[in-house]
Amino acid sequence: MTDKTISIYWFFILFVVAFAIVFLTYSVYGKPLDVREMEGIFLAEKVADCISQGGKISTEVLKDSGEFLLSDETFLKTCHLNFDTEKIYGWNNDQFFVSVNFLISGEKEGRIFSSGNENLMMNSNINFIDSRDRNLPFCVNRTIYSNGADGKYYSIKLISCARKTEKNA
Amino acid sequence: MKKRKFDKKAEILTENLIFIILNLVFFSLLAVFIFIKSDSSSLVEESYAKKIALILDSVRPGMEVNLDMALANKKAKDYGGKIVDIQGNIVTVKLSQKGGYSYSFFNEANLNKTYFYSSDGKQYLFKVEPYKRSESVLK
Repeated sequence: MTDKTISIYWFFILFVVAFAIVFLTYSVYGKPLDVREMEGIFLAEKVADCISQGGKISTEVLKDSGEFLLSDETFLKTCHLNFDTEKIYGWNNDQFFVSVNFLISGEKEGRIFSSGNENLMMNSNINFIDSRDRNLPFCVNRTIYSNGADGKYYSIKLISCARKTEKNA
Repeated sequence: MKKRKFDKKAEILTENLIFIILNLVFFSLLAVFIFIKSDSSSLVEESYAKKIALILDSVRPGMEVNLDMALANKKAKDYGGKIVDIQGNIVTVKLSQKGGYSYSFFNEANLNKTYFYSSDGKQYLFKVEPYKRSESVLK
């Protein structure tokens, strides 16, 4: 009787151990690698490199006269970006968002240019991935300062977002 | 009387033996499960596809990036096809006939077609040429 009782306990312990091992294995290997944070950061850096080099705004973005050559339509082309890459999954240009706000020093409102899916940006997901709701996209907020060819000093606010939750969360 | 005692000992021995064998089978199955999960080709495919996509997202014209793909090469021993394939803005890493993992990158990097160059198949070199569509904005 005692031996049988020990056996029952032993198999109960084995069951608990098996459950723990399977659970841990799935929690480590069952989730995809999450690279959204890196993508968001790289996107912001790519846009920053595109609009400003060596502390000066590119002449392909801003003319000497202060006129912007950039527009929402030409943004991606000017910065050599392609957001329309996942058509095979039926995702149409909705996995990324990028926005640039050119603020002249001392002024409150600036010129904003953006491209991609603007619904991705929410206040709650700036520089943060929610561990409970990993389906939220990841957004990066950066500010750079640069001189324009028009002689003005600009503070440039960049926001970039990456979604791709199907392959990362 | 003596025979009955002997029978009981034999019974205990058989029970213990079965118990030990069942335990061994159980732990072996767990070990195999963990080994299969951690050693799976699909994980390696995903990891390399995402690594390459991130590399291509961050490169600038003129850069050359060397990626050690010894692990992928080892896994793809029995697979004769192309391990890395880049079509448009989608990287696909395939280590077996049935497998394959694709991931996209947003940078319009113009890659040299010899991106899969390697003398022993373990090192992959990604050479980035100037942008195709227009002159680079980098001065």
